[in-house]
Parts: sequence; structure tokens; C-alpha cells
Amino acid sequence: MRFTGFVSVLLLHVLTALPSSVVEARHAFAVQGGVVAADASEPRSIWLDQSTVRFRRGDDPRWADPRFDDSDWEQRSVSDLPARTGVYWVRSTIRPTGPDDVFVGSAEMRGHSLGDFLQSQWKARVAQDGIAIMLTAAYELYIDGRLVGRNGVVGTDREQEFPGSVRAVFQIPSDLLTGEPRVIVMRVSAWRSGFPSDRLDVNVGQGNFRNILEWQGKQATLSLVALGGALVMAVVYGLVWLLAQREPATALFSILCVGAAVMQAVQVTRSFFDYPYDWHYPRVFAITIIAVLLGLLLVAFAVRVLRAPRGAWILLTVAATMAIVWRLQPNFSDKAEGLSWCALGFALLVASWGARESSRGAWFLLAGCAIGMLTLTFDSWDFVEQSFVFGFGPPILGGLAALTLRMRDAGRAARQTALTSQRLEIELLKKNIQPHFLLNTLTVLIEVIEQAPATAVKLIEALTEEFQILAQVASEKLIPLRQELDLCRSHLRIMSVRRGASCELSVTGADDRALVPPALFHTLVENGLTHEAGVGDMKFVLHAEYRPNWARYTFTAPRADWKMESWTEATRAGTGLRYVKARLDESFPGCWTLTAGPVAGGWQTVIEVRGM
Amino acid sequence: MRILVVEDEPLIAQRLERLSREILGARLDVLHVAPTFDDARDRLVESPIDLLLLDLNLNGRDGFDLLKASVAASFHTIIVSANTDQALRAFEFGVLDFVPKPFSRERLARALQRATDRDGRAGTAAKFLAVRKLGKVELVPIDQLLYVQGAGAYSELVLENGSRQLHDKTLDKLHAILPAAFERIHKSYLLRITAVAALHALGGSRYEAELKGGVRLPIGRSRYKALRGRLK
Repeated sequence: MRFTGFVSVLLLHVLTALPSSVVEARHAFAVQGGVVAADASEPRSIWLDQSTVRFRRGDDPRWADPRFDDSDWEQRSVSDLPARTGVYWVRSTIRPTGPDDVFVGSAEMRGHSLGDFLQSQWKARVAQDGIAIMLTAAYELYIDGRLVGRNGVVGTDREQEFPGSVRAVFQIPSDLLTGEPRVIVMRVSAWRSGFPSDRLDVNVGQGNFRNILEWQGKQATLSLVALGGALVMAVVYGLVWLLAQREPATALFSILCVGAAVMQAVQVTRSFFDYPYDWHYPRVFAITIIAVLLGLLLVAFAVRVLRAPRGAWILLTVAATMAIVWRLQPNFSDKAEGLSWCALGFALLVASWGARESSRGAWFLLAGCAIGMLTLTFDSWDFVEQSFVFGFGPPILGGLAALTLRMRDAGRAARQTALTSQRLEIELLKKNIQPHFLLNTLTVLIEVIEQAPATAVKLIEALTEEFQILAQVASEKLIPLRQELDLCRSHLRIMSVRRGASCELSVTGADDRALVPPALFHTLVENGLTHEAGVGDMKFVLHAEYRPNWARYTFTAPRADWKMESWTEATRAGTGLRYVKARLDESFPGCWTLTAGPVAGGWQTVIEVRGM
Repeated sequence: MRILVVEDEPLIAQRLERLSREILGARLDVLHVAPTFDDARDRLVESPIDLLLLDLNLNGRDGFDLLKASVAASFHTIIVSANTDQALRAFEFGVLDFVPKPFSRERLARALQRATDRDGRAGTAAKFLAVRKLGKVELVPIDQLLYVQGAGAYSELVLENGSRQLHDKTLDKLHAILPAAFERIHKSYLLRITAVAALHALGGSRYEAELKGGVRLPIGRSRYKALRGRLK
């Protein structure tokens, strides 16, 4: 567990303290001495990773005395303290200062650049009288021989020890705040550390006591905000999935947000429940497990929302990689960070695939994952405490954008489909009353009434049948083939009378109950009749073939003579074929083909349909 | 009257033929039916006609190219079609009448009368005259037309800008499709009334109309009075 680096400090300042820090910095520049800065400030870590302290196993109260000679004590790294091995003592030095002193660190105050302004916060002209310790152990803290505070009760064995908090803040007595070096001594026992590793690391930070307490309070802010946001999104999209649109991606997103909320809640516990340190391992373990699940969920969501193939394989690969990472990283914070990085990486790969395939929303998800990975890489926050928001927040927002885009597209497609269906119904009904068909037929009817009344009756009967069938089928998307063939035949009967020659449809292989769009072949018959000049009998041929989930219809219209211009006209399709293609698309989107071309003595149209 | 019927539906062609014969009786000399435009063209080359009955929607093709070629010819054109929304446009090109389908005997008779009557006029006046030039058909806007001079079997269109075009129709036929503003002032002249600047009586039963540009056209003796009355 490490405290933050410069960038993270900058970020946290921006989030929690920028307004006041701008004011205070001016104060710090302008006023000499005696300024009590009102902003919360993070304690400055005084024992960095490479620091060493004097270490000795055993238990002797004389070791608290600052004058005790510890030169023969072992030098141990601060990340190498033992756990579960009995009482030991640790000694080092600090320099607490009072409010009027300026602690001169590695750089003097020079100029008024931004760096200096920020650095000035480190050398706040407030008393450096607070010690913040993060250590999963029970200990007593002595400064210059005085017992400043306890964290739990140090014990010689497990039953004797009473676990303390993971974080504790102590105030250095004011008479010690002179800027001279003081000896800091800790008497430690860590019987109840649940971590598998038997090494502890301790982090000690120094700052202003009051400010440290404020800062600790504010630390939960980010997590609380994120928790609230995640819960709201979880509820919103849960409801959307339940009530509006049962898309798996929506459900996954809702669960992802729930998971994020749970993660934030667990992280926030530290600020609200001062739990004993033996709960720390279970908490960290839980956070790591939740991070794993969230990572898997994120990848699953990315796969689902971008419609990537082989989702199960991808998830298995992610899980396997995560298992490897788990094994490789002993430190839990690194574990959780590595696992998250791993999940984000896979989500990024899925999003890149999506971007290449122009899958809607892929770029947003890609950007989110990239930003998340960058923040994880470059910040050195304790993952289990803070990074989660910055690591997972951007991909979740990216996923939100992708999901919303898809919902918008789905809405548009649905409206378009509805419009198209209406338009097709209208076109179908208009076939009844197209002038070329209806008025010519009525003219023929007048002639036939005057000249051959018996034929007139037949003509009226055929007209009636065609009108009736068209009225019945207009609002359907699919009708039985039998009905379609009846429609074609009544049309051909009418045309036979009009042309004074026999027009017939010969059908082979058809299944009466197969479903076809209304006026599919009727349109082809009309086309054939219109483009065929001359007189004489006309024989149309329809041949049907079926296999499971597949059908092919071969329709041949007779043509007596072939002229180039007739062919180019026919291939330009015209309104008729446009109707046919639109109907096929309406009922069999993406699963049909239509080809047309000349054959011996005719014009052939082949329609293939899959997946009926 | 020599008639050619261009209609691809045999029963409708039959109706047109039957009714035409009934209506015209002895005035009908010859009537042929052509089911396609190519057949019609061949027929026209063989023997001239006085009247063409044309269906605009032959074989689903748009008939307006046919129409333009037809109105440029020497004979009158009557359209018989189911597509009434094209009627106005057809008249603008100079057809004599537009008979919508289905048609009764009376309606066809009215149309044929425009062709047989001496004073028969088109249902609606034309806006363009189609002129055949080098195998293509050009449209001359009638508002640019000043007067028409007869030249035997042809007519010469004289435009306001002075250019002249030859048209296959006789003056009689042109008179039928031109707007009422055009008056037959002479056996050989059709004139736009509004172009007259002054009338001159030259004595010896000779009359002349002076146009705004200075051109003088002869006026037939019998037509002078009517013309003067109209100009007042």
C-alpha cells in the first residue's frame, strides 16, 4: 500500500480543493507566518518504498527511550516487516514543525511558477503535527520516549492481541514541534493479519493533524459520487431492460453498473466504518474478486453490444489470463490493478475489432477502455481504494454511449420498417387502380358487353376475384403460395380476354402452404405481360424447389422476340422489381437473392429465400 | 378520311375500328390497325393518312416520343389513353383531342367530329408546334409564331425573329390546333391577330394587313370584313 505520486495529488486537489487552494496559495505567498491553511491536505509520505527503519524482535520497554542506542539493530525495509511472528520494535526519526516554521525540503521556494505554487502546499505554513499510519497491525506509538497513541492492544500471542484499525492518525504533542529531529518508535504485533504473505508494509505520513482528518473524510467523496451515479444507471437500465427492450446488452450494462456500485460501496466502507485490521484482508480480497467479475462483465458487455463473434471463447481467454495474473502478482493491490488492466485490455481488443467492422458505438467503447487503461498505468493510486473509478469509469461511460447509439438505431430501424410496410401495402392496393390496368380492362369490358355478353360476365368474375384477393392480402407480409397463385391466375384470365389469346401459368413443385410476400409473382406476371409485345398465347412457368429452411422459385415469362432495348429496359427493373425486392427485404432481411436474365425464348427471374 | 389506329390491345383496337366505321360511315375511306409503333411507321411510309388514333402507353413505354413524332406529321393526332394526367401535356404539343379510356361511342364521335368538320378545332390549343428537322423533332413555341404561309402540301412558319420553319401540316390542319388568336386571313395565310398594326384597302378588292414589323400580307376578299370586325 503506497500513497500517491505527484499526478495523483494534482488530480485530487483539482477534485476536492481547487477553489480553496487557489485562495490559500495566494495567502501562502502573501502572508508571512501564522497562516492556518483551511484546505484539506493529504499527509506527505515520509517513509518511501526504499526507506529503511531499525528493527528488532523482542519486547523491552527501554527501547522506547530516544537515547537508546539502536546502531546494532537490523536495517529493514519498510515493506518487509513481519506478520504473525510476535512482538517487535521499529525505530526511525522525524522532524515535526510548528506553525511558524517553514520546512525546507529538497527545493527552496523560488519564483511564482505553478510548480512552486503546488510545492508550497507541501510546505504549508501550518504545524506538521499529525502522523498518519497505515499498517495492518496493533502497535503503540512513541515519540521521543512519550507514548503518543495506541492502535489496538499489542499482544504476545494471538489471543492477547486486540486488533487495531488499518489507518490511524496521531497528534504529536505541541512541545515537540520545534523542527528538531525526534525519535519515532513503534511496538508492533500483527498476529491477525489475514494476508497470505507474511510481510507487511507500513506507510507513515506527516502533515497537519486537523487537515489530515479533514482529508480522510473527503476521500470518500469520489467513491460516493460514483456509487450514486452507478446505482442510478443500474436502476435506469434495469428498468429499460425490464419494460422497454429485452436486449441482453442492456441487462449486462445494468448488472455492470450494479457491480460498479457494489465495488464503490465496499471501497467506501473504509471511510465510514473504522474496521479492525483483521477485516482488511477479506475486504481487499472481496474488492479483488469484484474487480475480476466486473472485468469479465465488461468484456461480456463489449462482446454483446458490438456483436462480436465467439464471445464464449473470448471470455474463457480473459478468465485464463486473469488466472495467470493472479498467480504472478503477490501483492493484492497490484493483483487487482493487473486483473483490471487485463480486462480493460481485452475489452479494448473487442472494441478495436468492433471499430474495424464499423460496429455502432465501437469507437466510444474503444476510447473509454483506452482512457481507463491509461489512468491505470500512469497513476500510482492504491487501486483498491481509488483507481477503480478512473479505471472503469471511462469504459462504462463509453459502453453507455455505445448502448444508447444502438438503441437509437434500433428505434430508427423499427420506424423505417413500419413505414416501409405501410408503403408496400399502399403500393399493393394501388395495383388495383393503376390506369393502365383498370381503365384498359374497363374499355375492353365495354366492348365485350356490347359484342359478347357471355365473355363480359367471365371478365367481371375474373376482375372480382383479383380485387377480392388483393384486398385480403394487402396488409399481410406473407401469404400462402396457393393464394398468390390464385391471384396470378385471375390476373391472367383477365389478360387472356383483353389480349384475345390464352395466357396461362404452369406451376411445378410448389408447396401450397409455403409463405411468400403478397403479389410477388403477380408483379412478375405483370412485368412479363407489359413488356411482351405482339399477340398470341403466352405461357408463364413457375418452378419451385424446397429444402429445409430454403426455397427457390424460378419464374419464366415468355418473350417472342428479343431486342436489345427491351432487355435494357427490363434490367433497369422499374417500379415492379423494386416492389418485389422491398417485400423480400421486409420478410427475409438479408436472406434472399434475386437474379434475372434472358433464357431461350423468355425472361427468367430466380428468387432464393433462406431461413423461413 | 384515312385513319390509322395504333393500339396494342386487340379488343380495344376492335372497338375503335368498329365505332369509327359506325360513326363515319361512308366518309371513312380506309382504316388500319397497327399494334406497335414500328408497324405504324411502316404503314405510314406505305400510305398517307388523315388521322391517327394513338394510345400513349404502348407496351408500357412512355408514348411522348411517339407523340412528338406524330404531331409533327401531316395528319391530325387524337390520343386514346387511360392516362388522363397526361392530357394537358398532350394538347400542348398539338393533338386534336384526348379521349380517355373507357370511351363511349358519343365521346369518340365528338373527337372524330373535330377532324371531319371544316371548322373543327382542338379541345385545347397547342403551345408548341413540332417540326421535323434532320430526323429529329424540334418544338417551336407558338408565342414566337407570327404568321403561317401555305406552301402546297406544307406550311411555312414565320417567327417573330424572322426565321422560317417548314411544317408538314396544311393550313387547315394547323388552324385546327392553333389558338384562337390565329385567324385565316387568306387562302394562304394564317395570321396572329395581335400582330396587325394596320389594315389597308388598296382598291380593286385587294386588301392588305400591315404587321408591326412592316411586313404586308394579303387578305382574302371574303375575309376582310370578318377580320375588320374582329380587330375592332
